Amino acid sequence: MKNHLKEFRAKKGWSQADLADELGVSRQTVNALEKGRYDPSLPLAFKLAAAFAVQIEDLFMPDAEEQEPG
Amino acid sequence: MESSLYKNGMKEKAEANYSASDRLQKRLYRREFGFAMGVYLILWAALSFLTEREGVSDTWWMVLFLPLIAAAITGLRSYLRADEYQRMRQLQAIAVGFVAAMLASLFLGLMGAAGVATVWSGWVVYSVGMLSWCAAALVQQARDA
Repeated sequence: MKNHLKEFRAKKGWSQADLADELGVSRQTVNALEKGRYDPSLPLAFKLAAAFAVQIEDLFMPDAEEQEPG
Repeated sequence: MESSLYKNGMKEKAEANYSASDRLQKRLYRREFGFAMGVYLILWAALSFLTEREGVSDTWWMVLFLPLIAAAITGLRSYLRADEYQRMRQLQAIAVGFVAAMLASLFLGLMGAAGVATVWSGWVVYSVGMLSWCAAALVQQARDA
């Protein structure tokens, strides 16, 4: 899953620790999310969307292979 | 003075790497684990003294299980306080330690079946499992830095 977390965070002028405080998670979790090493659960994805006041689909998008029909 | 300022700057930079959730978790873990280990050391010292001077029964050494159980509960509480990604990472590291401990016990079992005498088998299995767990956790920490 690709995401625009880093861009949205930069727009807000937040550090990873600031965003982690906003979400109530560790900074390492934010780092893993931004690098695409970890896809969040739905509740955390909703928290992220609320933190940036956007829709979840504005933040996350599937990789090309994930979009191919099964 | 300069050195002190430098150190303070380094500390601030390191602190900035942690969220409030990280700091709270670390503080609680250190407090709870430190307490359990403190009790362990006091009991160990007391039992050493009493065994030597008063000749108390070796069975009393079993009492050391109590602070170790407290330490295990500390680990469980830390897991329950962690967020979803940290939980996943912790479980992965524990899985590595578990597989290593199983392989070590299988190896020792086969050695025993082959007639090779093994000593301190329990401690060997424990050490292999714990060291593998720690190594896996360190690798994960390095990746997430």
